[in-house]
Amino acid sequence: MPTSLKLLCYNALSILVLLAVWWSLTHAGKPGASVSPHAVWARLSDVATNGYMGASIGESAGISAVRVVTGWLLSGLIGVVLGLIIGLNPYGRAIVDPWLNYGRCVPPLGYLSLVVLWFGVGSASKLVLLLLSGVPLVAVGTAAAVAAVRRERIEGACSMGFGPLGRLRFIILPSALPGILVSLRIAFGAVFAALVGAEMVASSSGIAWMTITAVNRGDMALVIGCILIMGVFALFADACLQRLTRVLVPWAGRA
Amino acid sequence: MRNEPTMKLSDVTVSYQLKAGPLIALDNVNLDVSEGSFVSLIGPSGCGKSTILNLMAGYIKPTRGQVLMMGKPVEGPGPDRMVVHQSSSALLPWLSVADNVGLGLRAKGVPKAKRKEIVRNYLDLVSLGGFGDHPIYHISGGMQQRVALARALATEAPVVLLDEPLGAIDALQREVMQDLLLDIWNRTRRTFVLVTHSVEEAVYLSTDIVVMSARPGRVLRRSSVSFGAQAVAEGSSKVKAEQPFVTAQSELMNQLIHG
Amino acid sequence: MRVASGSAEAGTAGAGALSFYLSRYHFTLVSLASVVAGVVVWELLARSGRFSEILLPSPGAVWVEFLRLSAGPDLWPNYFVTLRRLFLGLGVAVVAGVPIGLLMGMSLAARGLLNPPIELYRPLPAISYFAILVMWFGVGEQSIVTVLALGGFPPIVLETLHAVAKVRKERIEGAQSMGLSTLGQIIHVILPSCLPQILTGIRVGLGLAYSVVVAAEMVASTSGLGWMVYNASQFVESGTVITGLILMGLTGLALDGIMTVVQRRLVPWVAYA
Ligand SMILES: Nc1ncnc2c1ncn2[C@@H]1O[C@H](COP(=O)(O)OP(=O)(O)O)[C@@H](O)[C@H]1O
Ligand SMILES: [Mg+2]
Repeated sequence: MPTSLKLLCYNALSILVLLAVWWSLTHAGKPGASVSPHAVWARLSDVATNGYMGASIGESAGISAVRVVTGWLLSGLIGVVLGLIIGLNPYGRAIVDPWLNYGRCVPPLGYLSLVVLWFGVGSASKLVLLLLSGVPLVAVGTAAAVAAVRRERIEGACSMGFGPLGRLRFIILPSALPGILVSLRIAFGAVFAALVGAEMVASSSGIAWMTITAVNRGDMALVIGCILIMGVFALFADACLQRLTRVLVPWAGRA
Repeated sequence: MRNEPTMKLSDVTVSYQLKAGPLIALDNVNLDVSEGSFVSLIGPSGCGKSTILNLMAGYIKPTRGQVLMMGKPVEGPGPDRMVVHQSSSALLPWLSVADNVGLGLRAKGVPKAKRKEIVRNYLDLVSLGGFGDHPIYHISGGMQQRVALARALATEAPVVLLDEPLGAIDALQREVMQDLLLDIWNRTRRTFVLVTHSVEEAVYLSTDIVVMSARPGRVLRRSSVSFGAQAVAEGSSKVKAEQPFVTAQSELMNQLIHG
Repeated sequence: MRVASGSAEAGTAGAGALSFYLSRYHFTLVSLASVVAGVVVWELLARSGRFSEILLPSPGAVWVEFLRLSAGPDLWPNYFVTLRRLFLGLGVAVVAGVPIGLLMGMSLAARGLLNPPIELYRPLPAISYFAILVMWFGVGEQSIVTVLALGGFPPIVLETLHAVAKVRKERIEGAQSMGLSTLGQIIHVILPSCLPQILTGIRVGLGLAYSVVVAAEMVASTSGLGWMVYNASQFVESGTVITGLILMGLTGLALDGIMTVVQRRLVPWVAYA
């Protein structure tokens, strides 16, 4: 049997075992501490049709998804522009570096209290929080990718007579693209985590808000259902970003 | 002026300020490269061969002295001097073979149709006719090196600077590439400056051989040969087998070993 | 960071991604000036009177607040509670992650069996499954330490696993010809070869766990730095909030810096490997 096929069999076995463990836990464990897959499904379809505290599950998930994607896209835009500027200009880098490094090391939820004080509990404060958690990661990653562009490539472009803009478009941006994409992927995880935390602590909408409310009401089936939804979303997003990387950087690892 | 050398280094010193003190990469070097010549720079590692090439390309400026092209000081890199690096790392993986070759023409603003035609000619010249649409990372290292060569030639720069372009290629390919270089030089009559580690390569290809020494980097000796022209006329295997070629090689080897 | 690499007397003529270079000394100077300028702007904004003192206390006020908190019974005990949770959780992640990573790297069966659960939960923010842990274990140390361990685990396992896959064949074969047992090979060849990447994994895991501990303390806890800051914000004590936030950032920087030093000390051969 070829190695990859063996690996696939083990993978399948592993997932079967996981489901079996879950199944048996629901029968062996304390009542209320675990719920069967069937119960989770039933609870989810119930919430989907009847809603939960005035919000349907689709709405809640949708709100969160929009928040994450907006925060991530904006972080990406600001981070890439900032990263290019500081990657190309040592003074800019010297000025911004201490702030970015500091920002990179603060746990995003730490900002939450301050941001809520300044911007209230509305969507503005969430966006600011997501930017604070995403922008430093993208900017630092982009700047590092720009600084690592091979000398020969830029020298070659100089010899051919490309000006600064030509070098940016033909050499620096494409050379830095793989590094930028990696930092965007990392930032997605950070932004998603920050949003889930923020919705749990200070929000009255969104999938994580629904989760934490269910926790407080001892609604285990809904908690697991919400986490499954977040998991599917996270896996889907990660797969999309991997796909994007493959499409945009077909030369990855080969040059 | 008819006799102005194409490239000229006059009393050039290059020093780097390191933590341990100054490092003299080139010490008072004088070097003339006349039009249409094929000059090889040879010497131990660290003797400043690449530094000379970088000076000519305009990537670095001399600490003292002057670098001139056709009598005018070199201010920076320009499309009249193209560089081929040792590895093909200067090629861009997001562009096809043809687009890589055509990049310099794009910088010059050559219209697309014309660009395509020129690129096709130069790809034919380096025997890569059918590979224009391939991604750069799908072809072998030797082929990549030929793409880099075609890219440098396509801009029709009068001066081509080669920094150990055949260093990373296997012996067999190397012979083929040497003959290719010779053929291109002979046909286009541009000025070539080649950095090499190989005694045979220097003797075979050059019109002028410049021997250098390290710490500090200096020009030791300069000599003229003409096996290249002979090879073009009579074939490479014949030239390489004959006594004068063998003698010239061992003489150069002696100079390198005994200074 | 390639900022000061070109401290050449010869100078570079417009080549390189950067249009010019700054020496490390100048770079540090400008950075320091930037930090000072930032604090001055903050002071000026606070003094301008356009923001209430509650929303924007001045740097001086925050410093006074820091001294007051520092002398009081709240700040440092909570701070060390957070650190203890962090190191406990990360310790579990390391102790579990490195051997499991080695095992997965060396055995196809282990890799095939363990990869799906890890890959399935890895993209999830740790704080989301913290919800389940709270329901199982209740509010308290157990749920927090568990979520930190789970959150820090994936990068450590995966880095170890990938490192094992990349150990040079000649090294293992060399060890085999010298007659080393499997355990001997692991201790003398595989583990040291993987150490640089394992440390990278631990560093990433530490960063993740640090973010999670603050979040978890805000969501369900009555102690720790995260809880203290959150609690202060409920009473609009912005001095405490800002003090806590600065302390969090400086601690994060310090943790990252310590990992950098450890990495440099422990694997000075990293460029050679
Ligand atoms: N940017 C630089 N900074 C410091 N030293 C350099 C730099 N570039 C080259 N050198 C030094 O200058 C000397 C000549 O280098 P180089 O011209 O690359 O030698 P070669 O190509 O002949 O091997 C070497 O000792 C090298 O270490
Ligand atoms: Mg060299």
